[in-house]
Amino acid sequence: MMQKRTSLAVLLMLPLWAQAELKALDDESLASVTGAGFGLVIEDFLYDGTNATITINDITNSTGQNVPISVKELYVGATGSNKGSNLNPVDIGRLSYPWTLDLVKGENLKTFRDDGQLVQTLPTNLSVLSFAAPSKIFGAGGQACVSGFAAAGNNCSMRSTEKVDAGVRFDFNVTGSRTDVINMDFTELTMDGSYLRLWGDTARQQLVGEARINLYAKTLEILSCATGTSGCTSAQEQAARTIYFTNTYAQYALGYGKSQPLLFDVTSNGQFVLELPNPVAGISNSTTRNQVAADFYANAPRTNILIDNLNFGGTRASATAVPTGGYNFGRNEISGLSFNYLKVSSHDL
Amino acid sequence: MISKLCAIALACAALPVWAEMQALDDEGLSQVEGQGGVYLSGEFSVNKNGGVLWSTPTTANQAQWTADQRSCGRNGQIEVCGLRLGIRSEANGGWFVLDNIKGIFSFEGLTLRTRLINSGFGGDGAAFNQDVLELGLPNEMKFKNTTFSVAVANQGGWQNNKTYAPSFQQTNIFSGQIDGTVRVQGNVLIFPKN
Repeated sequence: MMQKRTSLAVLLMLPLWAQAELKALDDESLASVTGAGFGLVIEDFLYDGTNATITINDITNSTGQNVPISVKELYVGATGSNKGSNLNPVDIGRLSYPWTLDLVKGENLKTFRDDGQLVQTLPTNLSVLSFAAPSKIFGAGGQACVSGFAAAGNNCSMRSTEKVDAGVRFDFNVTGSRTDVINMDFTELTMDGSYLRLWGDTARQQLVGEARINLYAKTLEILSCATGTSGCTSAQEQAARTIYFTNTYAQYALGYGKSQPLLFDVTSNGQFVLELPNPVAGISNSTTRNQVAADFYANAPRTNILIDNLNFGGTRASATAVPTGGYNFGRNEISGLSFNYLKVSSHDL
Repeated sequence: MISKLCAIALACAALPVWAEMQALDDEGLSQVEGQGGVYLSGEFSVNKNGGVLWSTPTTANQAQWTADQRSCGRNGQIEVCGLRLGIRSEANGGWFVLDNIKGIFSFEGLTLRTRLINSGFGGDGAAFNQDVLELGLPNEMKFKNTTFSVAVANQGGWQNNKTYAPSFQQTNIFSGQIDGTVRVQGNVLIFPKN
């Protein structure tokens, strides 16, 4: 019956003309269409690799033997996970401050300097592929980058519920019988203001870029043994083998598009090279040199690493409290680090 | 029950249909929304039994391989080689290589649909008020002998430098292998950004 009715309906519709009309977009509507790329948000995200065996091979010791690295206890979830034992989903990114993938002109991709000023770091009239974490907010709406630690800034966009707990354990099978362990657990981790930008440099005929990796975390604990194994069971034994970071952040800046792009390269004889060239190399005119250098010192992003409290072997009264006991190394900080020149290359042994 | 249905069907077929079809006006059309989405499950096997480029040698001694033979085993083991992907980032430079990609990968319940977001998200949803493309991640992904190697080389294609191409140079930086079940859940929301 249903089929018959459908066929009849189709037959009846055939002689009729569709009344819907296509309309040209007017100038006003067209003007609102901008090629600003995509926003990405992951709603209710949870990653748990506990039941998978991930192995990293081909890293060899001095005698050329493979040292397999087992990647265990890899997880990402909401804060309050108690080192991954109580995993809950978390939103990665916000609808108003999403992760983004854009192809834009260099002059349209502005960057926040540490003082909150928006500056252009990329050459003008050049198409740049940009992959960026949620942007920073200088002004109203800014969130604490590290909760309860004002020195990390109040200019992040992720709220406390959008930060994540993440962890990983690496087992280095150094020899058949010996295994070295590094177990890392972050709480309240966020990456606001990070980005990777790539473009083609015509003069160098190669792919170049600039990257900024910002990591803010309330705590980071590095444990050097496998929990539950001999000598690593009681809270006291584990504490004795733990390095505690509290209120910590790292802002790595690699490259400044205008005068010091990051060069990713493999040489013609098959070796990997990572280079940050001298910003004023090859400029003979002294006035231009001074201008380029002044611009570099004023606007190029700097690398900062800060650990508000570093402690070996203490114990925390609560999950995020500064540890007591053990060896307190206090506050450690590297700030305003700028690379004038950097070249890292691989060599066959 | 069947006979009743048949009777109804016959009665309907005999009667002329009185309802008249009317063209939808613009307003009506604008209210038509596409519903539903796609639910995907799948299993992929990439180069599990070797690719088309190389056949598997019978000996671990590279000097004795023929030009079309290659083994990707470690410590003298003979293993088929997976897919190779080479990217050159400089006009006259060398190559970044993702080599030996092979294995079995399966998932259940990857979904794809569109969705209007106008609430939730800690208060961001109401102001957002637009459609997004939603990619629902599968709860579980299973891997079996899934491997890849990250390397740098002086040319895109692999060649046997023991016998045929002495100048060929490749350095494996590291390689990875995944076995077992990974739990990945969440919805990837994709939308145009203004």
